[in-house]
Amino acid sequence: MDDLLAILNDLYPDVDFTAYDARVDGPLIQSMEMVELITAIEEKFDVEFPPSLMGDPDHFHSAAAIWELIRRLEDE
Amino acid sequence: MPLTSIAFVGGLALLMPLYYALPMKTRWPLLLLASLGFYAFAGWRGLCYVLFTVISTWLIAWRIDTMQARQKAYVAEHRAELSREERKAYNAVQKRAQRRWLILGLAVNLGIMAFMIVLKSTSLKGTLEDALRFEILIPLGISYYTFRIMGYLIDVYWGKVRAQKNPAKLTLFTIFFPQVWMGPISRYEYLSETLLAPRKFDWDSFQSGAQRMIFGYFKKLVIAERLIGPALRDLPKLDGISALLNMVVYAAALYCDFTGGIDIAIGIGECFGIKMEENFDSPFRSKNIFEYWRRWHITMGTWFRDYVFYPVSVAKPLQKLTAKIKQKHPKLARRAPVYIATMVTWFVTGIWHGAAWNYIAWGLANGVVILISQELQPLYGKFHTRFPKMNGKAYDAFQIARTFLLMAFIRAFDIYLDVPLTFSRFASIFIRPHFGALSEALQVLPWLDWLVAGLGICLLLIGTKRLRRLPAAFWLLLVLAILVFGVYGLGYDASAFVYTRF
Amino acid sequence: MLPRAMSWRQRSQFKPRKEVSPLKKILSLALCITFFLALTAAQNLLMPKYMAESREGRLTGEYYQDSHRNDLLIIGDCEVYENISPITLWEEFGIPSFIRGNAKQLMWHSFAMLEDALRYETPKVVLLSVLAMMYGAPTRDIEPYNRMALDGLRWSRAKADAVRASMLPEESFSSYVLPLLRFHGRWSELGRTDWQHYFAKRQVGIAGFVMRSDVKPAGWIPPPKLLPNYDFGDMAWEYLDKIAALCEARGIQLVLFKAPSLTPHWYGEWDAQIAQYALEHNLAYLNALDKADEIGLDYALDTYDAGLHLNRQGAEKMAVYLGEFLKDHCPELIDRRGEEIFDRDWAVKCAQYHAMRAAQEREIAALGEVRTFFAD
Repeated sequence: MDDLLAILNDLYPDVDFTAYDARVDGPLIQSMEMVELITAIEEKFDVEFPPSLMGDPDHFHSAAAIWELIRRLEDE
Repeated sequence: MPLTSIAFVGGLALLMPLYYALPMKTRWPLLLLASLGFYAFAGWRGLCYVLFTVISTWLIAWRIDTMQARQKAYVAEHRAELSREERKAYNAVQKRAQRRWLILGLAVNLGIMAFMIVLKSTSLKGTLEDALRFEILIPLGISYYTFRIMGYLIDVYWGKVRAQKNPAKLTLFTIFFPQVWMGPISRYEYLSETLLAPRKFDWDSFQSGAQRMIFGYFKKLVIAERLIGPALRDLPKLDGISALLNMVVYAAALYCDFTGGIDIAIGIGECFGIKMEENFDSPFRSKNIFEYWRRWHITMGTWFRDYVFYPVSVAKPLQKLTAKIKQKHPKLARRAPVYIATMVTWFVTGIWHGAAWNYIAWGLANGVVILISQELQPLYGKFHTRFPKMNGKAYDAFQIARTFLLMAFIRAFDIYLDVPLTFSRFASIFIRPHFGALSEALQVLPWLDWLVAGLGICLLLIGTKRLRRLPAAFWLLLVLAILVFGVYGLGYDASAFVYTRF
Repeated sequence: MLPRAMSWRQRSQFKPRKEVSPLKKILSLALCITFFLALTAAQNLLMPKYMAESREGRLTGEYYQDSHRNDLLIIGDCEVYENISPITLWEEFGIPSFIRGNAKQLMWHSFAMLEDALRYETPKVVLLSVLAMMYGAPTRDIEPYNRMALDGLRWSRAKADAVRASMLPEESFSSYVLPLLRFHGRWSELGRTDWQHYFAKRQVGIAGFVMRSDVKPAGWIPPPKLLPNYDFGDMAWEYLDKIAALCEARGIQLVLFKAPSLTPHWYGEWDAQIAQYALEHNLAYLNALDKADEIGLDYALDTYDAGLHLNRQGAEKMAVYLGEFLKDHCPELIDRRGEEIFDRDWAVKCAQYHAMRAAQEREIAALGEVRTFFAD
């Protein structure tokens, strides 16, 4: 989880991702940052992100949601 | 038979009461029948292509769906016996087989569309007669329905939706009549929910839909049709400051034409209790090009993002490439996927609009501006920390105006349909503006028409939210205004009445 | 009404069925009526008034103000409504007649005029101008003439059929149902005439006759062009057949007529086809062009536009000759003079006619031309 937070903070230095939730605070991650985020996650966690998930805001609204998704992908 | 034809409006007026008079079960078949009817009206040959596309996609999607079901069942059954690696290997083999079907399906869809786009683009250079002949051949709204159904196929492949068993329902999704002309490019997941499971009559939804349709017709007939002639026919002949006028007028015409068409489509949907995705979110209030493309033609933007940009950016070959340059240029490696994916996406977007250089140039110009803006972001940040006072309403207004003009310039490729000419006209604005010629340029339209268009735009500025609160009398008045001030039908040409009498 | 004790939470869960109050119903109805009234008002304002120019656009509608007691119905284009004076036919022969004519009235328009008139009266004789046989299909420039001929017609199956037969591909049926769809673009060209004649329109024709008393002698007439084909078109024949069949079915004698206008040229080949048709169907055919001398026409005096149309003087001479011809060929036409109901009717028309004639002659004497007639 800390690794993920590090990646996120690298992209958005001003945001506190322990508290951030897009469903409440409004959308944040745009398509370009999304690509950088996914590339970084894939490298760090050795998972393969299917592109089908990238357009789905349900998986990316908070750090916790992303973390859960990574766990699920690791499991597959 | 376009959305604004009397025949279309008349057909709609007959369809609505019939729809609600019929029992629930027969409502979607009625819409299918109506869609096929509207489509056949535009040319039965086009209908053949559409049905071929739908049936082939339906079969392929079903095939992929059964393969996935078998795959899931197998994995569930043998979960205990298989190691993670074995399971991964099995899934990979299965996925490859499914991908072959997907590629076949996309090839069929894209093949037909590419053929038609090339046909259309080449015919434009030929004689008018050729163009008309091809116009009949090319299925109506091919780029829109192909995208809708390709989205569906990819979603099935990704396991996001289950395949539709009923080909008739899939046909309805593909050519649902309000969407045929200008979109929106609906997703199967979203549209099918209300399209295939009709609701009871709901007065509020109907009222809101009717208001939206009226507003759409107002934008299209009163403003867009009035301005599109001067914008594409008369003003392009002029250069200097008139070219700037041309770009602004074209922006207004295009906006009213496109959002008006979408308003009509979404409004019709609402009248039937069917929900569609929004396609615009006040795009001319955007402060930068990213925001603009999130607010203009949203369903196209998200389509390209989800089905082109993301898949390309995480594609295997691209990852290998970035891994290669990583040692030497780590910073570049991080950016490379975004850059390449952006340019690929905009190149494809350009081609989608038409297989001609001006469209490709338009697409690439968007991509380049987006990337430059992206690189300039840190600079803006520095600028704002040094001048914190530059963050007021005035600066917002400046940003909005800047984005509007920037997009107007990019759109100029559309106006002149010629890449060098676009650049020369653009340059002439600064090199030899001819301010004096502006009054002459304004004569392309009688002043009364400028006035009507101007008043119409003022009405748009009030905003639909506030207008919707107005009583029914206002909307009936608007209908009357459309009937009188709309640009449609045979113009009253006074000179036609001066005849040699016998 | 909700009970007072109900809390806000309870109230929000309580969903009463929407009741529409009677006041709201009445208001909605009133709103709808107002809308349609406004629509009609706007349409009336935007439709051309056909007063200052293209006055013939009023002729179709003026038929409905007639008493509909006519023994002779004259149908055709300007070759009848400017070339035959019904007043002379009455004064000299006691034949009550009406001209249902329009500018560039084609055969299918003529059929509609006949069908429409038969809803109000059954004349004994129909005189049909055959010049329009030269048009075998709607011409490219026909659209404004369609509007002038058909917009004034009252709605009936005849009108619907005529609209469908006359329309160019770019026209739409709905624009005849709601002419606003056609004329809305005039909003920026509305002029004094449109307001002045919103309610009161001046009468243009007398028994369908449009009077011109001025003179413009016929001079050099260009030689006729050779045509690639002299056969009349299919649609022209079709509607001539329809007119003949309808007359026969209603027991009306049909007479074919070619006016003595010098242009457009009436080819011998055309004349032969009509003569042949008349022979086959046992119809009387008067080609007045051949009879100019017998009629006593002087093309230096009896035409107002150099031979295209006759003026009043010519039309009166034509009517005298026509009356004699009809007396010989149409035994059913009798002299109605002395029958009170006709005398009263025609006294009014004759008075209008002579007043207009006097007014035009005064103008010609003073100004050298007929002017007020074209003012709005």
